[in-house]
Amino acid sequence: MTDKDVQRIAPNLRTVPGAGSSAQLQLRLAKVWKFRWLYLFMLPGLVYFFIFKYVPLWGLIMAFKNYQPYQGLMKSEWVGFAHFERLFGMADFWMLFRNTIILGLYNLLVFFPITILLALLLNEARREMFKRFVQTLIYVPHFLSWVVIVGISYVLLTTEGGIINELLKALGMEQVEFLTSTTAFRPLIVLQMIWKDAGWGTIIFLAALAGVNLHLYEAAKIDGANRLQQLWHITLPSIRSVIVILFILRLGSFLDLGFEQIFLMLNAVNREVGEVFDTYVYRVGLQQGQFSYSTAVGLFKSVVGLILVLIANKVAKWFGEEGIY
Amino acid sequence: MKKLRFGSFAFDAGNYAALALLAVLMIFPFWNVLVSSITAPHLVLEGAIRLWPEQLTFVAFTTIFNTPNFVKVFQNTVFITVIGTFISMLLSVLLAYPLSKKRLAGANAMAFAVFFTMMFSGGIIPSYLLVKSLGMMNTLWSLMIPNAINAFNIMILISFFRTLPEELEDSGRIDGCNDFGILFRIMVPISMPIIATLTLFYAVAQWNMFFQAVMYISNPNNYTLQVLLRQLLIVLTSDAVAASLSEDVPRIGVTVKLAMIVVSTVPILLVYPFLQKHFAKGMMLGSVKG
Repeated sequence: MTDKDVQRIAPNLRTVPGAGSSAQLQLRLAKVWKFRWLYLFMLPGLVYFFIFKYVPLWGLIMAFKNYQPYQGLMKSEWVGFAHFERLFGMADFWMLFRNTIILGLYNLLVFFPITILLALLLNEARREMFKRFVQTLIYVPHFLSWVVIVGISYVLLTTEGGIINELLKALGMEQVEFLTSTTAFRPLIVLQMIWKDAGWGTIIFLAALAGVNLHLYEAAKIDGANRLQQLWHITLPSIRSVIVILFILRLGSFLDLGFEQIFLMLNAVNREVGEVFDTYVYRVGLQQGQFSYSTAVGLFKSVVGLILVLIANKVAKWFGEEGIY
Repeated sequence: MKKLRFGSFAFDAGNYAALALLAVLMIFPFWNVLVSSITAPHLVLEGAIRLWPEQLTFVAFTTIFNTPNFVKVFQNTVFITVIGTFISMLLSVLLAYPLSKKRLAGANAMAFAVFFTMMFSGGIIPSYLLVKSLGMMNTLWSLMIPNAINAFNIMILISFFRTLPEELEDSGRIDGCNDFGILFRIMVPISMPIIATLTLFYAVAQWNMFFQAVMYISNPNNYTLQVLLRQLLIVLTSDAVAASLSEDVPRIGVTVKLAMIVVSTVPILLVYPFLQKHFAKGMMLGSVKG
């Protein structure tokens, strides 16, 4: 109900006290009227979410149609699951699947633990000045765009005078074509992720670590625990919940690898190891104009992603954690 | 006890060394770009590791600023960052404040509707067709409106507003404020840490926006720095960059690339210390509660 409707109805209702069965409705409307400003505040935001987040959901039906731009969404012909059959029957499907899963695993099993490790190291650094200084430096790459991160990688790694290859040459080794190598692609992606966001990722763990009861460490010291043992038995368990929740969130976005990063790193040579669902949707949909088919690919990805979140959340609850909803 | 103390000392030493090394590794590539961009081009091409500039020259920067399209592109980027961040922040605060009121009928359902968009979305193609049918293609609005509100930021704001005592609202009412006054005269000022933090997030996202710019903008007049940067750094070789410039400095292509990185990062990095005062606090609040 919009604010206007309320304005129209509520004052009238107030002048007709106790209108029998509508008494409850009246009470409710009076309450809405009382908060009319708040509803008005929300309006632009809600309209935004409706138009830009929920209307595209409606657009998903084109995954089951043969969308023709000149016919419009409604008049285009239904084709059922034809686009999905094409996707699953395609040889490239397994390539996309494999690439997405492997990069997702790299992200989950390499990048994520490194942020935790980095947070633990920072937490152990007791000199405030030093800690603050290191934090400031390692947060900086987060503010660089993917274009800059990938661009700097190109500048460093190119065979036409890039530092890394010059170093290899100086050491008497052969130059390596990192940027067009299929074996270097995945490690490079992970290194870039670590460079850009590992420092930033520590913030949430450090916030959780700030809440650990210091008496626990005193007690452990009296019991003769060394620093590593304290880390293992006190520090880590105290951020377990945060780790679990972030793990769930990451698992849920398992398939949402950074589109921009991969898009920028892709070239004709490394496509076979680097192409993932998102870049494929972009290439086939926007560059080749196969709207319906690429929407179907995107929908498949979104559904799998949603299932992953739901499963991860359930598992977390079994383990006695709060979950994300 | 003595053994323990020594172990602890070794632990600290190793830890400090590891952290210092990491910090240097993470900042060095950027530092190297910064230093090389103001070094003579022929020296940069030798590919040595450089800590300080040699034969200081700003020729790469003057070249960039003299390129006809550059000033326009820079203005576009500043425009979408300033106006886009303002729109985002205004809409976010206006939406999150009412949603934080549990007594408000429908607030919970609407908060869930916002949360749901984080888990499931229409994806690239429907969003693209929507922007197209709204007539926003090739306008700077397409870089500010379709992604104006970030659902995650709304969640952070809601949980922050919920921590504020209700007495604040009551005292505002006694002083004769309506909801508008309560929000902008009381709630917003005391929420400065979180508001500064989210402003920083939005501003960085706007400045660094690349995907939308590639999707929605094809007219070079509406390019942003990131799009120009990609062409310069990734698509073109140094020689092609040099050939496209009118300046006649030998081997300038490579330093122009580096200078372009500097021009498109330093302005947004400057925002960071400015907001950092609030930001450290805001990030803590946001992450603990969110």
